[in-house]
Amino acid sequence: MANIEIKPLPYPTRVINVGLDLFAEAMQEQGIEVAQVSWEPPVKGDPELMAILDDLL
Amino acid sequence: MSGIKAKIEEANQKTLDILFKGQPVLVDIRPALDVVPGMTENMVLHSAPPIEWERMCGPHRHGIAGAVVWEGLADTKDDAVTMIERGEIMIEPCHHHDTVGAGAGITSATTPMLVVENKTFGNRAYSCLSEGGGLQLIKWGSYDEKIAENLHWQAKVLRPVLQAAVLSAGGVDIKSIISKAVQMGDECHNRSIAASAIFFREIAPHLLHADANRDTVLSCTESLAVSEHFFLHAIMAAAKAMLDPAKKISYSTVVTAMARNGVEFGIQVGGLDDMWFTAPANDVDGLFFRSEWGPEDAAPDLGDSCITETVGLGGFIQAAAPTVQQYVQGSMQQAIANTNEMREICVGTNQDVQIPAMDFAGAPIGIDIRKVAQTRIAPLIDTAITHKEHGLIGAGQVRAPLECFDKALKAYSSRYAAA
Repeated sequence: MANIEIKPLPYPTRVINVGLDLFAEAMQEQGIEVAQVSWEPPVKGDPELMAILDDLL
Repeated sequence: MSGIKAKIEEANQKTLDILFKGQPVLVDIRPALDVVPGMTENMVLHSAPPIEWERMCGPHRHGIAGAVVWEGLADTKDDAVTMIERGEIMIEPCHHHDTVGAGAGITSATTPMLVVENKTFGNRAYSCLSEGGGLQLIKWGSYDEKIAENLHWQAKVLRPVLQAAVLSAGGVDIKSIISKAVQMGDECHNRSIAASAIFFREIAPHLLHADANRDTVLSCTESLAVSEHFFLHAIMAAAKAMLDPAKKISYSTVVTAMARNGVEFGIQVGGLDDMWFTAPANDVDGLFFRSEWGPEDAAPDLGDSCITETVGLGGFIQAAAPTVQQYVQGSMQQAIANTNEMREICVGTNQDVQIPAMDFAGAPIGIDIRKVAQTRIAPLIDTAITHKEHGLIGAGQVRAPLECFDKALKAYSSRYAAA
């Protein structure tokens, strides 16, 4: 596998994180400004309703 | 877009078209027995959804028994209950008879009814006259001699005078009044003061056309003048007249009725015929009119009046009526946010109802059960708080139970997705 150099972005970074708090926390620990947006799967993950919405919406 | 999604979009657009083209006009004032389809001398109607006598809330039980006495079918409320338990009184939801009833929705044979015709489609809907202000009315399940006297006066004196006025006026355009009233601070459910004032201004010159003496006309005029929310019932009948042609549109996911019977909340959906999808009614959050009252005294959510929210009025346009926020210690910002939130669960925007505080943006209209299920945003309803036995004790707001919409969505899928 080729070596890939990961460079920081060349400009100040602000992030919007939607969903899992863990991702926002990880960025905050690295000093990155993060806005956390509360989100959860539609219909609270009810599989039947989720499947129905996939078909109808 | 998949086949079924395209059919849904087409059906919902057709539904919106029906709502926008509706022209509800107040055309007559008649006794229920004369005009309400299926009404009989021994029938009492109540706010939907259907519910057995044994499970009914206090306002329904007290109000229905009171109506039986008022109609002369029983001498006392206890005798009325005996007749009801023996099956001698037919008890059915207003909605099943092209009618809507605020609060307990008590409607019986002699009840004077507003007759509203949707001129575009020819269908009619009905609602009783508002009894006026006051905390003890039959619409809140109360019944005593004073209430009976007022009901008799309305049936025998006010009805013919108001009928003559409406006929003289050639009918009253309700849609036009709603449009104006919303721009004057009404949301047309918990606040219909402007609508009632506009109606009074339109009808007052025609009251003199009644075949009645001066004192009679004067008493009727005074009664209408002080009844601040008189026009709410006409707005409700207009909403039902607009929505009924949108029923039985195959593939439609738009809600065509919402109602509460003090025990359960129910919805009907355009693509699902007259089926009711019910869940336990929520408690209303709001202001109690006296310090001695509190949540422990209240009945759960009650009344057909959320037919107004079903056409995008009331809780759907709180931003049009800042005074309503006082009932929930809210703010203008919250009212605007609530109106924007309702947009997320609707399929259209109604330009006949424009909200000044939102740069005259049109009101959200057409509740989509898919969007409610997906977003978990429940319809917001401005409403009264009824005592668990009888009487009005407050006002506020409440959310429709999401379970109704989840049930409807599953039934919809069983019918259409499998086809």
